Amino acid sequence: MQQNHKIATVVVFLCTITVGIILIIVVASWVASTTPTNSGNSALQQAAAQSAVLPTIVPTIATEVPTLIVTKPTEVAGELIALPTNLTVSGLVKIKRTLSLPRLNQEQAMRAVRSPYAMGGIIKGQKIYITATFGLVTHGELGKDGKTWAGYQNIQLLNCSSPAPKDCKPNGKVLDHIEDRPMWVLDYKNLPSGGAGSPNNPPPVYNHTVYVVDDETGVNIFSWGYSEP
Amino acid sequence: MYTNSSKNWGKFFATLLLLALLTISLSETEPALAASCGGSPCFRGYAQNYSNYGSQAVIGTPNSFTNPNCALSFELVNSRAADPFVQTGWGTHGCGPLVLFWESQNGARAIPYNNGFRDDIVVIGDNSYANELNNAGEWCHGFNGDPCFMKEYNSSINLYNPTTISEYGETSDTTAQMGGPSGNQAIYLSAFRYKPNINSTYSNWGYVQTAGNSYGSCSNPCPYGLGYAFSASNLYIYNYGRGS
Repeated sequence: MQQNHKIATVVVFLCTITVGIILIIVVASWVASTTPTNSGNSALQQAAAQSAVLPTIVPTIATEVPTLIVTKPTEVAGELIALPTNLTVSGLVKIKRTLSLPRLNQEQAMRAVRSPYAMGGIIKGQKIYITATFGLVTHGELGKDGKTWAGYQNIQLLNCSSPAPKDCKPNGKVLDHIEDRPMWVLDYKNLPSGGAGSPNNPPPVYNHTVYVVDDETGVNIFSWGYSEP
Repeated sequence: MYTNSSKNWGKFFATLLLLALLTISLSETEPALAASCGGSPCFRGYAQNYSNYGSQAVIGTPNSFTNPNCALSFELVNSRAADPFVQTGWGTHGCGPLVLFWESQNGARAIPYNNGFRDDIVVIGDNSYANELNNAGEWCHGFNGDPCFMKEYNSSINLYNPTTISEYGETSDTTAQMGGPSGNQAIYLSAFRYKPNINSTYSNWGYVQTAGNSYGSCSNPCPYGLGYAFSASNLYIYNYGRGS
């Protein structure tokens, strides 16, 4: 009898623990299913919802008037144009003022951008804002030895009848590097860009994409991304 | 009485155990659906441990399904020592086409990294991409025979003798392909080479002869496939997509 009583006590004890474990699992599962996360189903469902809301990526002309920065007569040619530091630093770019007028107007420069959102539009519910700057662009810098140049090298200039690559042909000119060259710098806020990074430190999706269009040839030569805090 | 009671408790206990197992097995089905990158990019590829001063690979460019939701997608060859790295390949951004891409990181992990897209070089077909350090302390990113379309000073990267080369694909959105044109159609990265000495000319670069270790991060189960094969002593690695 006493032995049976002990067995019953142990069984009751085990049952109590089991019920406790089950309760913890059920509560944890419920909490996990109701907590929003960036992973798993939530992310997939979010992406699906976004694509359902935005079924097309056909661009529209931005209704906002883009900002155009050009040199005024009172400003001194050759001065660096003050732009957000994270814009210029991340792109290794400097832009100087010039009194020369651009060959392309702003719309022509924008049409050269290799993106379906070249003329602006709305993406994932957010309007794209474009800031256009014309000036003398330098990419990279001269080395301490005064001879070598770090930055883009051997840039073969193209003539393109449209932004599509199949319509571009080399025009025979090659730039050793890009220094004080008349170019348009077009900053697209809310157009996603990014770096590749590494699995140890993947970068975020940047919320700005910056395109540079050569004023002489009307070709979009390079670009980069950065995040506005 | 206690005997009968014990039997009843035993049955109750067994039922509870069954319920517990059922609950656990149901909760285990959740990860099978959690195939996203968890808010970070998915990386898939291989890494090989070779002391090197540069890396090279031929990377294919099929008609990749890479732009849903304006995903950022990349295929790259990389030289690195932990996180200081240099890499070159193709990438997408701004919802646009696949263009030439380069990037470097000096180990400080400052965001954004030095990087850029060459929009004037829209990549089509198989192309050769390279990273190379010369004895003047300059890292060059190369493309299709141009050994230096982009130059950086090693003093700003601090990567003198990388220990590893890797080749991989990456995407920020699992609704996009890792690189191949459709599900189960692979994108190939081949002709992997490494620069064994600082003064090695290109003809003396070594060929990678082993697949190495899986490189990257992708939630388990990862929606992207990965594999390798040899053809005429040439190592091919490939990654492929989730279906489109």
